[in-house]
Amino acid sequence: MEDLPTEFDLVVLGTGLPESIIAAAASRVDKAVLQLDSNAFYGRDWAGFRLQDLRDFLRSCEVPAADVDARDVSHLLQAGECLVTLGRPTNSISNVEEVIYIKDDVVETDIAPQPRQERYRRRSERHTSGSSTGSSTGPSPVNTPVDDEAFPLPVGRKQFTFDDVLLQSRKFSLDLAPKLFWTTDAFVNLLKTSNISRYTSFRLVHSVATFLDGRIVEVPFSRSAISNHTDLSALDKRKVMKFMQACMERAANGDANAADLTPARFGDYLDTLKIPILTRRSIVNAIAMCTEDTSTAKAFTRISRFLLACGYYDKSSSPFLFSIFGCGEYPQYFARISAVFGGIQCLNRGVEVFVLDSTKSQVVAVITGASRIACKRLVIPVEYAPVEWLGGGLTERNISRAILITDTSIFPKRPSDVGFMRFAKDGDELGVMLIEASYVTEICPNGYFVVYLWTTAVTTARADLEPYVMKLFEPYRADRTGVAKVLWASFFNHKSIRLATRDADQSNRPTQLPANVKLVSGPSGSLDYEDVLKESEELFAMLYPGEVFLPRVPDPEEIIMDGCDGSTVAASPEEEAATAPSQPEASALIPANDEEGDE
Amino acid sequence: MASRKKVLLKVIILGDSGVGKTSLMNQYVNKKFSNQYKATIGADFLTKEVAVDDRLVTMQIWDTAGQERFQSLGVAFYRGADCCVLVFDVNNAQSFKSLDSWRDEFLIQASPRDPENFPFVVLGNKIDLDTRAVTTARAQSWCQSKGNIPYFETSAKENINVEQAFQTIARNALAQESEADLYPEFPDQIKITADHKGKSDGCAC
Amino acid sequence: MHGRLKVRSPEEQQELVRKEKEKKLHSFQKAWGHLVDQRAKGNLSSELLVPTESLLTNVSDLYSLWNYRREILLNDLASCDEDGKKDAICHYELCFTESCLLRDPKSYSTWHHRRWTLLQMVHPDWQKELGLCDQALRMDERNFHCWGYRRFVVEKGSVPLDSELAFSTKLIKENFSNYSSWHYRTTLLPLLFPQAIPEAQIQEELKLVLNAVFTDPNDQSAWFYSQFLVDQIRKADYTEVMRKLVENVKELWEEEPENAWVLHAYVKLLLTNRDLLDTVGKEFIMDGIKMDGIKMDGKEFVSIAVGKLSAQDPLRSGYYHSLKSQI
Repeated sequence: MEDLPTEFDLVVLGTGLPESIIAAAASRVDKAVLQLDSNAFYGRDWAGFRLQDLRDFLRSCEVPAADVDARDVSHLLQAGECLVTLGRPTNSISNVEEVIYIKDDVVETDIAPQPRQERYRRRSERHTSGSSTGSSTGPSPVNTPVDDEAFPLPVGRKQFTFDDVLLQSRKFSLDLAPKLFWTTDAFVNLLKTSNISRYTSFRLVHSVATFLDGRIVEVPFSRSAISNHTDLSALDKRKVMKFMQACMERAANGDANAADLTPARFGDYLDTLKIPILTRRSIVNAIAMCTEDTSTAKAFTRISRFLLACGYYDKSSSPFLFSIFGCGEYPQYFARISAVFGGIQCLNRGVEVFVLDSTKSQVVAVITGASRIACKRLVIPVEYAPVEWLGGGLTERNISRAILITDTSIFPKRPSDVGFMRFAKDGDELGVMLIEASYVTEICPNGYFVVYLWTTAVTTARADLEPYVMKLFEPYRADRTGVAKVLWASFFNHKSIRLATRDADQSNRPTQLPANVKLVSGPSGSLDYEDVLKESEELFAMLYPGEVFLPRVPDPEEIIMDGCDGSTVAASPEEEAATAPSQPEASALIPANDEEGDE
Repeated sequence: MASRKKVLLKVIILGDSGVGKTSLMNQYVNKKFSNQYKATIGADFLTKEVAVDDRLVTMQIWDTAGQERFQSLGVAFYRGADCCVLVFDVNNAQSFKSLDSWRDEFLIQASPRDPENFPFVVLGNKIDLDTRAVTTARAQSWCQSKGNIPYFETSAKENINVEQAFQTIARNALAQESEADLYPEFPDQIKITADHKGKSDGCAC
Repeated sequence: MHGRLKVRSPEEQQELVRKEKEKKLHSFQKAWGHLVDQRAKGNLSSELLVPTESLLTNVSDLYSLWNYRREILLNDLASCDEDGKKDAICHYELCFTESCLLRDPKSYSTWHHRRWTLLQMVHPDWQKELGLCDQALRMDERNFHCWGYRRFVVEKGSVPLDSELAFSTKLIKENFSNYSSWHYRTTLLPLLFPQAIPEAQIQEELKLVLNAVFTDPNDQSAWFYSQFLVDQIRKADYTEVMRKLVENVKELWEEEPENAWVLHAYVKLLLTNRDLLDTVGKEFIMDGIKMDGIKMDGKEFVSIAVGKLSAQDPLRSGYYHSLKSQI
């Protein structure tokens, strides 16, 4: 491998989403950028994994990071400089519990049984990480046969074994921090204006649902959904529609924030409307995404946002988009923009020490391996900052997450490709979020569904979320039909630290933080990327005041190659159609025309 | 005959750094060659319309953007490739040896539906130089052993065989395109473009 | 710093595009001239299909060129002795027109050429054509070219009418503001039930239309369809159904007393059902005045209502006047 250059304008540690956005933005304004990640994969806490890789990764999170013997790098120092070792945070992921829900019913078979280990190894020989395939059981697996007893193959009916699922490991793309996009949100807008959207495509979220009396009911948010809803009487439909129209008018007039809404508590406000319970739940749980205690004004702001994002692609479309291949791709898209504009990404390579100047007010270099890399500015995740840089003012967010593989969609609307649902939880504005995606999103193979659940952690992820899983699914059994079944789940707690007041306001910046260092946060529980974008944009503005944030990447046709005279530009087919002469011009060239006669 | 819908093919070019991936692409699309290493930045991919038999297809040729230098090509780069071009420098034996791992890397990362029959094309570049280290026979036999991968010896500098090689790339990529379900039940994927304007009436409420 | 990105200015881009246009116009003129020439000479060689195709791909409305293409194709087809070969030629035309329609879904000439092609085929695949219609209507549910083509396919392909009714239901459920699909129902139902539409079917239809008007009382297309249903109910003399309908519309009117569409529908229903004129409603407010419907004579109500409608919509005062005269 080549040696890395030794001087950069900006060094970014980590390839999480905010790091990659900042790297891309800096490369776009011609800064020399180096992005390093000690992981062998992109995305840090924002990564997406194949099934087996996810299991391996989550398992590795349970192992405390080994202390690296400090290498003597003093010879790399210049006079007056001093070293600071990186903060060694505990893993952001903890309480990992994998549960295999498949009950291995014994089925009579005429196929010679094979030892399961061998069968698995044979069919998955191309898998990258061979190390763990021999002992593929989680830390506390339920119902996982671990011995080498005879293992039946499915016959005659759709019978999953976990091995069957694992054989398709590579067709899964599972996110640590799944998100949805509002059709109209600032992040989607950035994708558009920066032209990064050319890497992406989306599926409209098909269903938005809520949970009522033990069953999942579609949220009536569009005209067609209201009109077809089977749980609403005709008159209810009129009332719901009226309420939605009033909200839309509010939103259109821009007075959604008005504090004149009384009663001030949203639950009390809803009492005055006398709307059906289904609608009430729908509004609180899924549309306003709040609780009954939320202020009416805030709830209305959220309702406007929801309704304004509806119907963007077709009249009845929901406000959400789901990204094909999932969210783990986004750090890579931004890193690629950085690379296309001269940035260097280097995976599998961490930094152990920072070099400070004599006044300790500037980081002048980072040490990676045995090399010193000088940098003018440095961006790192909060966790990497040495304790003495941070002072107080840290908040820790702890999210309980679950990733499920299931066999049937829980959403009533068919065909079901992507669905969103939220349970309200008393005293928790986040509630319990749920996204379900089918194979059309390319995050799982046909025949399976992926379900993400997350909520603010109270205890462990499994204790927090398994009750919801059991409300919606049964553990898999081949002989049960007509119910949604869960095959596999992984639960984990996902912590991230952030500065209580981000250093947007310089006065609140942790005092010991070197002036040329900026800190980025990990993923929050928010449904979308707007907080990440806001943080990245603010940090970029502090790093490079006055520079444009992610201007549009030119299309290939617009770029002048060195020495290129431009004569080879290819017009796009659309232009071709437009440039072909319209009929009057054409017919002027021929004798007056005759027969439309063969009709 | 396949459907006459417009076809867009994603072609990715892999190989060690310095074997001439960008140059080949530039020569083919822009008919330009520059000796300068990394002459142009900002070119994410290049597109070219080509006729294969009587079908017009648009090839989108993706460069590694230098990310191969420090093994930092993410899986996103490999997604949805219709053809993979493996390039080595005939004057650099190591770059030839790397083909194996590039091919494996591609198959693992892109995980194409039918890995046995996925179209690869191998290009031995820089044949204009006199310092050959990999013989044609050796390269051909490697290609044969991997399921008869088409092999071309090229010079991006002298524009030798470049057109022919890419013609084969387009043809093989196109052959890979199965006749997709013409009228799928699911609506298509959504692409976001700068000029897309949402329905102005917003929510139909 | 080497390799700094150079981007063409918008002017340069435009200039390039203009040059490109010029070049294309020139080659278009040349190709066009050549084809007109060949046609005058009566050349029906199938080699000429290729240049017609490339011109028609860009401009689908060159009907003379389609005509020339058909002349050549007829010649080709005439020389075919096998059905399979004929259909293969036609299959190509189907693929070709499909790609043209994707680009320009509202070209008369292209839809026409497709019809013509199917009529030349020995074994046309009508199901596939329905699939094409589904797709085109999904892109634009009001493409009347496609609706026309669909009726052609249904007729020629003997497509079962009940599946067409189901298709129309599906479209209405996706978006009920769709005249075309409501209208399609008014043509399908009499064909499906030449005597009288069964009561159960009427109930289904009413559910569909009431869902629509309760959701959006301002939707004209659903009211338009309800008028068709009222006629059918009256013809079949389903008194109970009619009574229920009047009750439903009354309910909606009580919720939306100011809505002209609802009021109009209610008045029409009352006029159709004289016996119901006495049961206007309970208390209601009209123009801010509280009225007692129980005490009010039905005729009096209709008269007030018509006056109100007429005031809101003076352009149609003549029509409202005629309503009044029906009392």
